[in-house]
Amino acid sequence: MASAGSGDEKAAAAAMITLISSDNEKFEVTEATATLSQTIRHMIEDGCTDGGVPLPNVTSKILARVIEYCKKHATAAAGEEGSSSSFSDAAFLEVDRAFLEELEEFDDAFLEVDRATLFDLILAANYLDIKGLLNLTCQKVADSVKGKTPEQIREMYNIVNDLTPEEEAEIRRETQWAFE
Amino acid sequence: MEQHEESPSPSPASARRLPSDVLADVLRHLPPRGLAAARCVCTDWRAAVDDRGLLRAAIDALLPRSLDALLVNYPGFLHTEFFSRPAAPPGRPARVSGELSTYVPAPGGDYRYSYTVRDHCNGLLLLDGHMVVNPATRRIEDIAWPPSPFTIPVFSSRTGQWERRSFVREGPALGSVADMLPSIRILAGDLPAVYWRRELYVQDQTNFVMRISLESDKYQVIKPPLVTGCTNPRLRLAGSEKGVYYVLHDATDPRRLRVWILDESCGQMKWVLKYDHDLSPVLELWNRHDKLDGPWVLQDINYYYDEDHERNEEDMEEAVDLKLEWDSDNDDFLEEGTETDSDGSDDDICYIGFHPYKEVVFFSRSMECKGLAYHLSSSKVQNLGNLSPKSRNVTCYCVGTAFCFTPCWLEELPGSS
Repeated sequence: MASAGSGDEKAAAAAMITLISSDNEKFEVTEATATLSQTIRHMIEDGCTDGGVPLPNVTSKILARVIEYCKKHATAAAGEEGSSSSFSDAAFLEVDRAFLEELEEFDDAFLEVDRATLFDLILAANYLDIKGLLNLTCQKVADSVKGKTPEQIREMYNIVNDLTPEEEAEIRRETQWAFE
Repeated sequence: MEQHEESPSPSPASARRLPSDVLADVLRHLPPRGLAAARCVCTDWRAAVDDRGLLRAAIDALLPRSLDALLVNYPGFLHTEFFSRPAAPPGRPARVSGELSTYVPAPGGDYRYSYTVRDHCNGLLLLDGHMVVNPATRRIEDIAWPPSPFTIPVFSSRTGQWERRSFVREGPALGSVADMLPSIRILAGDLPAVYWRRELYVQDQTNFVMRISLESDKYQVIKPPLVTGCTNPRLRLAGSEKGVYYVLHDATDPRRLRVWILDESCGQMKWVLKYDHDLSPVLELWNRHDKLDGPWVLQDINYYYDEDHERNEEDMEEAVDLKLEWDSDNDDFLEEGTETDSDGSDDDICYIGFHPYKEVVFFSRSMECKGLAYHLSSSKVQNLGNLSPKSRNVTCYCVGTAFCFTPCWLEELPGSS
């Protein structure tokens, strides 16, 4: 009995991964949370996570947010597996729907950040290869650009227009339908 | 870290910090109009869009590429029915409602206006009263009719030759539906036309086909195929992904189906008989198949309008806004079953359409009014479902004309720019 207990403990301990941010802060997360990142999943598969996973491209501030996202969505993925194994019971569907709504609310609240943080999150999601987070954050930026004129986009993101007037006129001619 | 907090002035050049790949991931989420604006922002953004062909891909995703419904006209019914599968296709921006009267105003407010589709091309419907409608985006365009100048060939007795003469219209374009109906019909329904790879194929009464090149403004005349064993054959022009077809399914010989494909190789236009099928096994299979319902259903729009053409709201509860994409490879195929007596009187099938992307033809039968898909290469048969519209007083259930509807989600009517 005692050996079985310590075995469980061992398994639980082995399922924890340490992530190290660029500013050397350490984060302990479960394997289920960490493996939402394909990059980390591959590192675990290759057995190179002993002593922690250094993430030199991600600051502690951003990593904390990313982990927050992964924790929530790892729970969601686990919940989905659990309910799909049981029959498509009306009660279960109800629970699923409530959970999906909650997840959507979480995502909306998660995206309430300033632009710089949003861009840092995109870069982190890209580096860590977290499909859901990359999709979510890219969509948020795309939504902010949608329906805007090139001038408005430049102003919003402080972009210098390095196109010559001729080039710009040419682009507008090519897709004239979009500027009417 | 703190200097990144929200401030009235945006952080410097924030978007430019995104590497090209990531910027492209962001821009991928934009519709065509947004991508066109993004190309205009700076050279990096233009490269992010152009290097990956994002604009082309975004436009392609909205172009017609799937068969969503059969549009069916029934004699005596005011509205064209949408016959389709009741399931939302994944990745579609919205549902298409066949109930045109809810968003297409009747010309002149005519309450007896007939919402009958006269022709269909790439997701655009031609309605009576020179109106073009895209039911996916709900855009409506009036076509000024007749055009000015109006060019017609005129035979000159003086020169003994045909001449092209242009006539400029005096006064405004005619708006009256009743006056212009015959002309519209001649342009659309009565002369079957197929648009394929930027060429327009128009069939005339003698089965000759005019192949009009929209790029070179030239046309070519194609002789009809030689049809044996049939005087005055009723050939039907059809277009599909692989090419232009002539379909022959004659009521006098309903058990035979012949399909020619237009061979345009080597610059010579030639009809090649591709399929010559005996439909007897299909009919026997169909006669045994007594299940009336199938995966496709009619939206039954006509049922919800009473004799005075008033929309009957009380009955609308059932009329769900149905939309569906049909998977012609996986739906229930009719299997050969138990032997039954085949009844010669059940030969009442008629050809109603050609699949826009596959070598599949659609049949209906007037007695039970079921829809059927017939795969030409495999001779497999699929039951689509009940094609008889719910009705209050009209009893004619036979299919008049039908069109294969391929939705187009582009906001702009193609060519309207």
